[in-house]
This record gives sequence, C-alpha cells and structure tokens, in this order.
Amino acid sequence: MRSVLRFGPIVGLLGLAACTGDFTPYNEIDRLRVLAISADKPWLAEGDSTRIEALVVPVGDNTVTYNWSWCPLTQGSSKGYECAFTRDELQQQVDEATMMPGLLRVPPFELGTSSTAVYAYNLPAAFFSSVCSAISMGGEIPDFVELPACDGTFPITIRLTVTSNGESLTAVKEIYVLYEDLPLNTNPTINDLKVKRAEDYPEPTSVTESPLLKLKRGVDYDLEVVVPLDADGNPSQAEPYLYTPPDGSGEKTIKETLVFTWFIEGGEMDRARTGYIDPDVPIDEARRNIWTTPKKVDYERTTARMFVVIQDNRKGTTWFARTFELED
Amino acid sequence: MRSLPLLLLLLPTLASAQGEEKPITKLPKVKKNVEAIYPAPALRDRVEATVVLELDIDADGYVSAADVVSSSTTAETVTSSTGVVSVLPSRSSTIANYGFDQAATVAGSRLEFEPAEAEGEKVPVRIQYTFRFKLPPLPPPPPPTIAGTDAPPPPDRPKVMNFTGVMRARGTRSLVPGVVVTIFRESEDGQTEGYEAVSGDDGVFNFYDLEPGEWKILAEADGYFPFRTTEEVTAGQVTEVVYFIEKGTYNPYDVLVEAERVKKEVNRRTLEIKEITKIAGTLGDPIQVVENLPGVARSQQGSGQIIVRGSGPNDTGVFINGVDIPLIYHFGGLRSVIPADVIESIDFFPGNYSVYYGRKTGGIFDAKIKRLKPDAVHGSLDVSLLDTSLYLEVPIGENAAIAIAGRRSYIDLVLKAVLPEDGNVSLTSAPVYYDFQILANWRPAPSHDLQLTVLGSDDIIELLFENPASFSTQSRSGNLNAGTNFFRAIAEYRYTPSSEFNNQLSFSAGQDNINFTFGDQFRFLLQNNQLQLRERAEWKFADAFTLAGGIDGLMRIADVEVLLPRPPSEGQGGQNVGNPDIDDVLFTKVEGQRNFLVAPYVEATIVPFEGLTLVPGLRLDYWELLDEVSLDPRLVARYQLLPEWTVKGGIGLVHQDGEPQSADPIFGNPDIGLQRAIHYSVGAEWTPEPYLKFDMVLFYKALDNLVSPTNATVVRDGKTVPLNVDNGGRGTVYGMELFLEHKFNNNLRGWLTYTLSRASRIDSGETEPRLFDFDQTHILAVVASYVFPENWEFGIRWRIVSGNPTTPFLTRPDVSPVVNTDLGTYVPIVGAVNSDRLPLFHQLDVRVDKTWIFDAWKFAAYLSLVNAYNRTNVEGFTFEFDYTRRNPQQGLPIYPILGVRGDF
Repeated sequence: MRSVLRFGPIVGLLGLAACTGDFTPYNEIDRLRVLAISADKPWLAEGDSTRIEALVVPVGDNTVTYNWSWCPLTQGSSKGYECAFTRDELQQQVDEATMMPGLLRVPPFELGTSSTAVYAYNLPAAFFSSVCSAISMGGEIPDFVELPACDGTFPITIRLTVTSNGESLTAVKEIYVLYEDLPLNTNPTINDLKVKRAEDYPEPTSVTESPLLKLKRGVDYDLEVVVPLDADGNPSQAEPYLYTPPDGSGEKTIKETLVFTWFIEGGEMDRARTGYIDPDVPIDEARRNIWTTPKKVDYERTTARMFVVIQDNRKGTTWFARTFELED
Repeated sequence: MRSLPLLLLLLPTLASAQGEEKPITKLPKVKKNVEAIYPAPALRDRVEATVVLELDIDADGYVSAADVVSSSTTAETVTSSTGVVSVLPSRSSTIANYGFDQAATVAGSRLEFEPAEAEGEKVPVRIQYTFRFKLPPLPPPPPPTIAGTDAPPPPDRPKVMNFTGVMRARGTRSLVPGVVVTIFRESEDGQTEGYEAVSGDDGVFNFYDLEPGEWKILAEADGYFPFRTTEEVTAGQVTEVVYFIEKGTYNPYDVLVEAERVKKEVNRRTLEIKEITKIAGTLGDPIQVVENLPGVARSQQGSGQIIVRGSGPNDTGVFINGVDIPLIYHFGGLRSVIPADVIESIDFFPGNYSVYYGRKTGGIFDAKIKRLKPDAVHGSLDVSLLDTSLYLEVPIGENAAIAIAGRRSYIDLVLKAVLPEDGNVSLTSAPVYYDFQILANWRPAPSHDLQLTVLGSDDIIELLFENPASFSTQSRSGNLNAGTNFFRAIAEYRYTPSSEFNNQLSFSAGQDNINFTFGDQFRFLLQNNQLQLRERAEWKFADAFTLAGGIDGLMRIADVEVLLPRPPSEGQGGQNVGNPDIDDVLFTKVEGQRNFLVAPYVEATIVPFEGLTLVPGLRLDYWELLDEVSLDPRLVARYQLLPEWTVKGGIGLVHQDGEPQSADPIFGNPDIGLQRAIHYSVGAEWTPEPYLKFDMVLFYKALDNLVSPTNATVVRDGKTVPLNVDNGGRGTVYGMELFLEHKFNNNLRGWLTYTLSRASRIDSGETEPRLFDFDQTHILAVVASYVFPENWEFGIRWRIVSGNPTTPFLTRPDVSPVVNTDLGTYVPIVGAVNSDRLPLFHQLDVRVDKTWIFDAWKFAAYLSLVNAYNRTNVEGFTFEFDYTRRNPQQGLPIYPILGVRGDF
C-alpha cells in the first residue's frame, strides 16, 4: 500500500542533481547513427510488399554495409529485440502445428545486404491470426516470447545492422501486417524546409540542395517545416483513426500525432523534438524550431547537414534532409 | 528561621605546594566566595552532609581542579509537631544520589583566592576545603486543612493562607513539582524567621499566617537554577505569585534514548522525541532519525524509503499508535507526515518483534502520539526555509486537553523561483504539502484514559510540459497531475484498574486517496477506506507470569483504477530502463474490493527464575483477498547474566502479502500466495556505566515464497496471459549490528552504530543468488550532540555507507547498441542484475541551536548544514542517449536550513 503512494517523478525534481552537461544530445550527429527506418507501406495487407530504407549517417565519408532481417516474434526490449526463434525453429513449429510439413513455408528471415530491402507479406494472414488465436485460446507460449498485441494487426520487426569503419549499430522498426480488414496507414510527408532570419533571410526561404543555402555561423535561424495542411490549418496527414483506449472506455476517432525530430551535425537546436498533438499542441508549434548554427571553433567543416524526421504514432515515418553552407 | 543554607569552612591544612620547593610564606585566602547549592532532594529528606574537596589553586588564585576527598551524610533527628521524636528517612542513602558531591565540586571549582606565596612569589598550591551542608530549621507547621506537603496547623485556631504560588518552568511554563520554597526574613530582634513549602504535582505551594511586610523567597529544585526574589505581604490580602524557574540546561536529552521500559524484545529502539529533534541532518524530523539506527539502510536521497535488515521498503510496517498509515513522508522525502510536536516517541523494531505486530517481514516502526497533560496552554511556531508548522495545546478542565497542529511547505515558492518562465515546464498547481493533527485526551478517572487523534496529510503537484514530444515520440499530453492525501481518526481507550490488569482498545477509520494522471496515457486512481480495530488485554497472574492477548483487525475497501506500464519489481531496475514503449500499458479497474485482515494473538511473559525472561507468542492471521490463513509462532528470550550484562535471542515466523498489484489479474497473479520470513537473532547488551551502553546483535533472516517476476504465461479464462509474478522467489539476509550509546552525561550525548550485512535474492526460476537492490555491506553512523552553556547546542551526524548495487549496461565495444527507431531511443543491453555497485557514500551534517529562555516562552534559532563538506555522493547514473557514457546522478550538495522556533 505504502509504496504506491510515492511520487517517484517528483523525487527527480527535488532531490537529485544530474550532470548531463557533457553528453552529446540525441539529435546531434557525431557518430555512426541510424536516424530512422521507413517503409513505404508501414501497414501491409496480405500479399503486399514494402520497400524499406534507412536514414544512416556514418562518420565522415566512411562506407556503410547493411544487413537486413525480419522477425515475427521477438524477445522484447530487454533482450535487444532478438528474434525469439530462428527461421528453422519457427518452420518446425509451423509444421508441427499444421501436421503437414511443407504446407506453409516460412520465408527466410534475411532480407539482404543492400541499402534498401523489401519485405513481402507472403505468409498467409491466417498464420498471424492463428498465432493470435493461440494466445487468446490459451495456447502454450514460451516465456521468452514477447506477446504481440493482437488487434487485427500483427507487428513484424524489421532489423538492420549497419557497419562502418569497424563499428556496428543495430536498429529496429516495426511494420504491421493485417490479418483483418482494416484501413491502411500511410506515411506522413514533408513538403519543404524554410529558413528565416531578419538580417539575411527576412522572408521564409526554402532550403535547396542546389545551390546550398548559405548561413552565418553562430547565429539563430528560425526553421519552419512545411507540411500539407487542410482547410482548418491542421496537418492533413495526421490521419484520423479509430482508437480503442486500453481502459475499455470505448472506441473513438482521434487524429494521429506527428513528431518531428530535428537532427543536426553541428550547432544547437532549440528543441530536439517537437510534436503535433491534436488538440493540445498545434501544428504551428510543432513545425517550427530555432537553430543556432555552429561556430567555427566547434565545427570546422564548411557544410552542415540537417535531417528532419517526421513520424506518426502508427509506424509511419519519413524524413527531409538538407545541407547548408556555413559562412564565417 | 534559618540563617544560612550551609556553612562553609576553609580548613587551614595545606596539602602541598605544587611544583615548588620553597616554603609557603602566605596561605591562599578566599577572595570570591561561592555558595554551594543545597540539593533539593536532600532538603526535602532533611539530609545534611560534609564534603571535603582537594583544590588545586594556580598562581593566579583560580581553582584548576576540584576533587572529592571524602563525603558523609547524616539524616536529621527532629521533633515533630506531635512531640514524637523520629529520624526522617533518607530516600536514597548515598551522598552521590543527593548530589552533595556535585554541588560541592561545582561551587569549589568556582572559588577564587588570593594566591599563596613562597618567599614573596605567587605559587600554585593544593589545599583541602570542606563544604558543610547544614539544614535550616523546620518551618512552623501549616494548618491541617491544606493538603499536600504543607505541615499541619496547630489545633487551637485555623491558619489563614495568605501567600500562594505556582512554580513553573521558565520557557515552557510547565508545572514543576517538588520545588522547595523557602520564605524568610530578618526579624527585628535580629533572628531569622523562615518557612518552607514544597510544590505539589500541580506546582502549587502555600504559606500561612505570614506577617505583613517584605519577605525573601528562595526556590530550589533539582536540575534548576536557584530562584530568589522578594515579595510584599499585605495584611488581609492573599499574595498570589507565579514563579518561573530556569532549568540548569535546556538540553533536549532529558529523556534517554532507550526507554527504561522493561525490555521484552531482542531489539527495540525507543526514540524519545525530545532527544532527536535536534539531530544534525534530519531537519528536525524525528522519522528521519530512524535511518541512523542499527539495521537500517540508507535510502536514496529524496526517496523517503525505510529499508530494514535487507527487506524492501514495502516490507516494513509504519504505524501510528498501532494503526496502519499509508505513507511516512511527503513528496521529496524531506519531511515526514507527522511533525515532532505531536509525537511522544517512536518504537522501532528491526526484527523479532512481538505478535502484537504482523503482516510485515521487515521491521516495524510505530510512532506514539503525544499524551496531553492538562496543565497550561502551550504552543509553538516553527518557521524554516522548508515549511512552517504551528502547534497549540489547551487544557479543558483538570482532566482533559486538546491540541491542534498544522504545517505547510514552501516548495511551491522555491520551484516557482527556480523554474524559468519560458522553460519547457510550467506549474499549473505548484507542489505543496500540508498536514494537520488534532489530539485530545480525557482522563475521567485514574484508571480510565481516552485519547482521540485525527491526522491527515495532503500533497499535490500539477505540471504542464509545454513540449510533450521532448519526453517521448509517444507522448500525447503534457499534463501531469499528482496528488495524495490521507486521514486517520483514532480513538483509544486504556483501562488500568490495577497493576495486574490493563486493557487497550483502539478503533480507527480513515481514507487514502491517490490521484495521478499524465494526460490520458497514464492513470493511477485509488480510494481506500480503512477501518482498524485493535484490542489488547494483559493480565499479570504472578510476578513470573503475565499473559497478553488481543486482536488486530483491519478492513480495507478500495476503488482502484490503474493505466500504467508494468512496474518493475525489485531487481528489475535496469531492465525497466530498457522498455521505453509508454504505449505498452496495462489497465485494471477494481471497485469496492474488500480485504479483511484479522489476527488474534496471544503472548506470555514468563520469568522462570530471576534474570531470565521468556516471551513466547502466537499469531493467527486471516487474509481475505488471498484466502489464506497463516500461523506465526515467535519466541524471544533475555537473560541478565550480570547487572551489566544481558544476553538475548529470538526466533519468529512472519507472513506478508505482496505489493497491492501482485494479486491483480492484470498486473499480477490472482493466485499469488503469502510471502514468508523467519527471523533469527542473538545478541548481548553491556552497560558498564549508567550512561554507556553497548549492544550487539547477530541476525539471520530466511525468506521464501517471495513474490517474484516471471516471464511464464498461464491460461486464464481460456486465454494465454502473462503470469507476471509467482511465489518462486527466495532470499537470505544476515549480518551484525553494533550500537554504542552514550546517554546524556557531561553535556554529551550520542551514539555510534555499525551494521555489517549481506542481503541476497534468488528470483523465480533462477538458481543463483543475486544481491538485493538495497544491499549495503557497511553502514556506519555517528551521531553526537554537545550542550554548551547559555543554551547553545552543537550536533553532528556523520555517515559512511556502501553504495547500493546497480545493474550495469553493456555498451560498445562489448555489444552493439540497439536503437528503436519508432520510439527514437536506444535500448540498453543490461548486464548481470546488481553486479555493480555505486561508490561509497559519506556525509557530514552539522547543526547549531541557540535557545533564549524567557519567563513564559522560549525562542530558538537553528542552523542546519547538510552535507557540510560538500561531498559529491552518487545516487545513480544518467546515460548518454546510446548508453556509451554515463554521468553520476549526484546527491544534494551542501545546503543550509535556517529556522526559528518559539515555544510557550
């Protein structure tokens, strides 16, 4: 009884002083990073395929090698999302379950070593629905398997291991395969990125890749991401969807949230991440930011890249990359 | 009636001339005389004494040392008013008990002399000096109509009381009984006329038939400075006075740390509030002192947890007068929910406790509410940088009193000042805590005692995070609301018709409320209504056999609604960090869930022969929610080998249910059972001096059926669901506790405590033990206070404690980090649970108090310096986004707490 009456979060406010001054912020790129993984179809109906690509930033001009795989059941975050079974183990269980070996072929988990990969939903939807049925019907599930949420969608984990200059990094992303007839989700989009500063860009100016936009070092620039808006000024790609609250309070239609993560190679971003949350945080609050461009003493290169990753809360992801020329 | 309270003789026997070969040519001569104070008990018991001192007088004439050479007492032979010759009894026959030696030594050391000389040169000498304590004549007897200590009047005519007074303590205005009041004057014929009276329990003293005119008053009592004044008695009028006499020192340690109650436990620490409110580093909060006792681990700063002998915070029971309360501390853990003003004492049992307590496998912590004495209006106001508290106590008639108290924090003001206006977070409702207490006592007859206590606490905070996305890609709101409050109303009735029987009945009702929401994503709503009944009767059938029995009944009816991620269990701290999916929440809702807990118990105290005390007990618990019954047999033995030596030991079984969520079908396991612990302890106590005590205990605790997390699944209602937890956990705790206590003596008080222990657990499905989350191998604390003259007090607390175990995160180059791109966060790969440890903790806290005493009130100022040498203690780590680097999460740096307090 007593332990639940405590206020853990407040302890942090009052009691402890954490020193984070010398940490690199999450949105600053100074090492091998996988900033995002995107599937052109984040939700797949039976028979669909999706092209998967990753936003990988190596250190300098080092080359990157890719290793893609997929997994239907993982061991969860505490085990680094390792696959719960090998493909052969899963095939064996499928064969035992169907009592007809070879009737259902589990595709290889490997998806190749190119910079992009394709995942094809070519297992029958019945396979996933039967896994969910097994859970809901009291089937034996090994204790190392993280139970998937079965709500007409089934999460497939896409796993990418990149290696560059002897260093490797693993990234995961979920895509949903549908085993019930549900409307598909699509990725959000970004139309443009604009810069504004009274002294050199008094009006919002689009950032182009050619020619590169020139920015002064060590000064603040207002940034503005341009996203499609509807007649009410809300982002049209924040799709409404039927949401079933976990508290059983009944289905309701809500809009997707849109989260912008502002990655930079140098300088400081006022907010690493911003979000559109209907109706609490308007899109104008989410799509704007302030970038303090890097000083030469901190960042010697004459160009700096910026990546704005936009995600909805239903696995939709896209990004917008631009390079700036820095002037002394 | 008496001429001088004592005679002072300087014996011309020169013991020696120190360090000087030359012959003494001039003896030392008293330049400044100092009267020794006649000890009040000796006055009362009519005892005289002679004390011979040996004084070392330096070359300047000052006394550098005063030692007692010999002393003797004689009880006075008097002729009473009835003409019968009797010898007044001496209550305590030794001179030391009356304080003659001390009085003579104090006075002797303050004497000043014209220095001795040897051939015209001033030299140090050693002399013998005698104080002779001689009683004044007895006053004339008072009239027979007056009760109390006044002597009876002569039978021929009634005496008229024309002088009455009340003795009160200066500063506190408490009534002071036993004060010897002497009223005297020089009569016209040069004779001294005087009378004596002694104040009764109500502080009142009376004189009769005093002649008009000016009278001198001398009031003396043990532990108080002599009080002298002059009064005018007017014919035909009654002179009424109130005298405020000042204590020798207003040190807080009038009461000893270990109450002198008969001990029946292996370990019971009773902290008297008066002695602990000024301990450095505790901010005057008595509850925090518990952390400095043997067997108690240091909790993380601000957590407000109590960890006893390797048991979790939830395994130690917290009670007020035996009544269960839901929380001890306000948020932040800086203040307990009960101020010191309303607490009389705190009983703390680290293990092997009586069957009066149960349902907890760790320790027991029971705060006793102050029992009001209806003598006068009292109150206090305490203003510090943290909060302000107010206390007011009012007598109602002669047998009843009522008190109210309240407190409010300033954390809201501090945070408002600290948080930038354009920051990411704003305060919708600033964090603030309140608490209140209402106390009432009524004693309609000596054998009947009723006490009513109502207390409550309220904490609230509401925050608005302007940019919710900064938390997580999944945040859908920035509104954080957190509030908790509770109240308890406790009615107690104590019936003590004789020394052979007593009965205590208490009934309490209360409610606990929690309201925590973070947008619509997280929710924890609880309303718990609670009734508790405690009944205990004790019969003393013979000196060697006492039987006690009772019932401990508790009924909870709760409405709970929870929408949260699965909370980590003990030993899962590191793994919890690895699950950043805040949409992975569970929901449960329970309405009107009843949990009836009842436990009859019986306990005997057997003394088979002198020195040995056996306390066997048996407790039967019924657990409605778990549908279980448990039987806890316990035994404690104490044997006094020698007057200074006691050996002791105990063994006992205790049962406990899991945390509230452990029996929930969503968060826990509805088939979960009781946890169990067997406490073993043996030890010894040595008291070489009345003020010095050594206590050592070896303990072992075997834990099994512990609620432990499991990844197993179970088929429930035809569906495969996570089992969440089972009773597969085990554990052991063993160690040694050492407690060295210096009770208040020579203005010094303090203790040293050292605990050496090892606490480990074996999780469900595992075979190898791991360290318990709060395992602290070494815990050393030194607490000391010294009372200086003029009511200055200086205290320190120094602690050195092993760091808590931690679970390391594996990073490059050992493992490749994993980034979850959907959540925009890296997932740490955890190493072996609790295989690492935080650095050693040590910290010094100091406190200075100064008290000014006025007739009717006291004023005190205090400065507490926490972490005085600004040690950077590590309470945990923060990590870079990919866990490749970490920085220490530091405890609070040096900070002062300044406060003032007035008591009347």
